[in-house]
Amino acid sequence: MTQNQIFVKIDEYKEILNIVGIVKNKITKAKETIDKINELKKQENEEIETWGSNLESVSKKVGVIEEALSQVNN
Amino acid sequence: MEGEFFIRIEEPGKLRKNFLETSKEIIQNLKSYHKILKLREEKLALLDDLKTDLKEINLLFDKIKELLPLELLKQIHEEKPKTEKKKPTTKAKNDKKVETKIKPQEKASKPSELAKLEESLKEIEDKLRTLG
Repeated sequence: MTQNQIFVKIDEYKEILNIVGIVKNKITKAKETIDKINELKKQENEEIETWGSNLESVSKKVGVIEEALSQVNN
Repeated sequence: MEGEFFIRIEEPGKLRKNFLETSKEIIQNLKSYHKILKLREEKLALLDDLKTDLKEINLLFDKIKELLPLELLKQIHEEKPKTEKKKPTTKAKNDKKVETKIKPQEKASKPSELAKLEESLKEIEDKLRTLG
């Protein structure tokens, strides 16, 4: 199977290489953005976890309050 | 004052401390809520940046396509397997008919950006299929 050959003008070839360079930079930037998004997601999850444990603590304290109020000496 | 009864609370200091701590934790949770909202705003801004970057990459690829004589290559490629391509199945023909039927419906329902992207994806897949 023979491969068809194509030829590109040298100016255009240089421009293509230049654009490929820009694309590579953009991809690097996009990767960095994705990393930042993942970091924010992590922070959000941590915040929600803290929320959950805080609510657990609140629930326990409400239980203690309820107990204290029901242990009234007549 | 008749009929009013009072009950004695054991360890009132402890109870008060408990109330205050509970209030503190609830307020901390509300603060958390605002922090989460802020994080989501930042995340949305980053997603917008990512979208812009991807669009720019797509435009740059279009530019590369313009500069590379890909059309010429396509013509050469299409000329070569003429005998193979001459037998399109009836199924393929039916597929084309289906496509033409679907298109007016899409146009009727205001093509969204997603629909446009799907269309260009389909075009690329078609081109890839012709390359084999």
